[in-house]
Amino acid sequence: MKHLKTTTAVLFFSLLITPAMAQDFVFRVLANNGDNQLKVPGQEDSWRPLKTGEKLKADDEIKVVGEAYLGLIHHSGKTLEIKKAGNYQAEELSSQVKQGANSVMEKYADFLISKISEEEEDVVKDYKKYQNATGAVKRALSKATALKVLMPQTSTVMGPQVTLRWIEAGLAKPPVYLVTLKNEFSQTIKTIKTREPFITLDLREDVFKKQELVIFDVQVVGKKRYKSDEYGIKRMAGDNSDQIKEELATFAGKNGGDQAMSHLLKAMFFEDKNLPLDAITAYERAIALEPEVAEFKLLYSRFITSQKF
Amino acid sequence: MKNISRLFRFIKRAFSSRRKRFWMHATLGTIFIFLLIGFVVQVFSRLNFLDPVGDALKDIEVTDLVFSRLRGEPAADEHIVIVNIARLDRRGIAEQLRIINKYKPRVVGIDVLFEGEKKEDPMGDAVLAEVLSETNNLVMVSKVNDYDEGSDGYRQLEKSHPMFSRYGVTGHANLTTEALSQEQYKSSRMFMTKPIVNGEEELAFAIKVAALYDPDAAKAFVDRSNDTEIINFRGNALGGTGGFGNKFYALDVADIFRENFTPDLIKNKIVLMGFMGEGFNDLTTIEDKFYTPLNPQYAGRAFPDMFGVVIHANILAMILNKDFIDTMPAFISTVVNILLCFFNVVLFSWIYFRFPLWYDGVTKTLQLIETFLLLLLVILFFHWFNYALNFTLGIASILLASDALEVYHSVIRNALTDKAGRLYFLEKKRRNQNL
Repeated sequence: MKHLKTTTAVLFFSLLITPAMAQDFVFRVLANNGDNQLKVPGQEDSWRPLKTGEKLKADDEIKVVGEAYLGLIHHSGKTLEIKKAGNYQAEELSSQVKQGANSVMEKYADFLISKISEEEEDVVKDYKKYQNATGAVKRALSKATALKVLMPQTSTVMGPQVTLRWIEAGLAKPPVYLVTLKNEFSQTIKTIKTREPFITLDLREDVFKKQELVIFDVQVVGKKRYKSDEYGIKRMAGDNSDQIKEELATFAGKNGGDQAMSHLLKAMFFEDKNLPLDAITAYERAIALEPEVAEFKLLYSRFITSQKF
Repeated sequence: MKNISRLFRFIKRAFSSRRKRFWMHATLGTIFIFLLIGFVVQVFSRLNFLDPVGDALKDIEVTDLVFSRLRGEPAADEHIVIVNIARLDRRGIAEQLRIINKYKPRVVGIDVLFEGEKKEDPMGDAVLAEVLSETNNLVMVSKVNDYDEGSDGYRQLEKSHPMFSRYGVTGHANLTTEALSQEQYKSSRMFMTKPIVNGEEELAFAIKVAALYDPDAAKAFVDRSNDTEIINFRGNALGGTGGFGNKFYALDVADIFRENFTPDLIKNKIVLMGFMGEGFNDLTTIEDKFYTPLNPQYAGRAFPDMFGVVIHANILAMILNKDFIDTMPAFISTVVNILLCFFNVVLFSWIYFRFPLWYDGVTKTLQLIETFLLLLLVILFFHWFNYALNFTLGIASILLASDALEVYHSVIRNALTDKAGRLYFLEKKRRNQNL
């Protein structure tokens, strides 16, 4: 009897708790276009970028910005689209989802009524009402689409030369890229224009000599939406750099110089030392010197594929 | 002449009893209506340059109305994530895939045919090949070409260049459409499940993906043994237009490159990579975009509403959720439509003789009511049972019945009987004989 009471009590409370635990979110972000943001209660001043797949709780607030779009999936499986800019509470949106349910019969009746009561359009007679399209195009500011640079957000380099490569913008007409380099105080120290999806910097240049950290971004000239995030190149500290150089000299042995094989060896060395940017620079140099050697490309591909950035 | 005279005497005898006459006329009236439908279709098919309405309407099915306006809203699918490749080159696609692989998807399907090597970017090819080799459960698309009527199969299977297609498996991405080439206007409602190519089956892309993700669901679908299947569209994805947008998780180029998504979005899920415009705010590109039953303008030509990769996602969702559409067999559909027409002919004929002054008003009203009710039946069957009834011919015959029967009774029936309808030459002959 005592055991039965205990079991019953446990079952009763678990029934109460389980539904609450099963539904720990109200919405999940299905699709997200634009600079939409999220604020979680308790963190008053911190709006942060909204991620696709993110779970929203009842108290969370979202901000839909400009011409952005947000698609949400309710925990019931129903979906909601938000196309109008503004701030929204997740709980209020949830009530909209519940209200919106229409049976098939209701939809059919609404459809018949709308068809019966529909006024016939006469575009010629009522031409003033039908002026929604123009023969011109709009070029509005829209969210930047990322140019991806093949490196971690911040990378330590030995140098002295560094190759920065990015994924091409995929435009019909080959673009001109503008690389803007800044110091740690966000002051522009150099800009470079190029038609290639890469540049090679020499950190021995006067403009870089005194900089411990160089920040850069890449964008397409004339197309503001094609822009990368900011990336950082940190120069390796003096002692570490000397030690790496010694080890490299030992590793490379007699294979120094500007030959493809020596650069390949350097690449493998830097890869092992977790200096991805130096490795990329060495691989790129090796391939540039011997473009027909498929094995170099294969090794470079494997290196890129294995990276976690 | 003698034979024609004998024929008329025979018909007269056949119509001797009133009740027999009624049922005989009802049958002939039904035949007359179907002949009329056939005639109208033939005439307008030859003069279809004069019939833009008919031309537009032939492209719809009644179930398009259901899809676009009248069914209950389906839930979003949570198995599939669609990734937009936009205009990225092969190196860019490789980088996307490399990032995706970090998050361990269960299956990756790539809705892109990589034709040939890119001599101007061998590094891009190398990186792409390497990333593909590292991708688990990879499905790439193929295309069946060159239909051979003799064997009822295809002669060619087009795949990506071997340096890419040697990884993973392939599934054909062909969609049944009236377009003669990829660039033309194309609508999509159905697809081939397992066409034969040079004697071997090539399963559809979505089936191959499903087979790697949920083998039981894929088997249940294949066991239906249908050569074609109607696509039970669930909805669109961001970047598409039309009804029921946003039923799939979707990631744009920037979302992938910035990794602006939660890790569990991709882990153990299906990722489909394909073209969805130059970005999610690109509403004008129509490359690889189809017109589907979800289009808000369900009749007539409209702006295409769904990218090919999203159509494949819909097929895949249909398979995984066992949400198939069954159709009424052609034979049963024909019988039902004939019976519908016959029933209306009987009813309208009765009204014609019993209440001739009310004929027009009553029959027109009945036509409207019946059409609405039949449409409702189609909708309800589709909504409740995923079963597509086909009353197209029946509805057409109902709509024609009222006027067609007036023509039949006042012209054809009278020509066959002795009520002021005798052929002039027979009358003349009789007069000559009497003289």
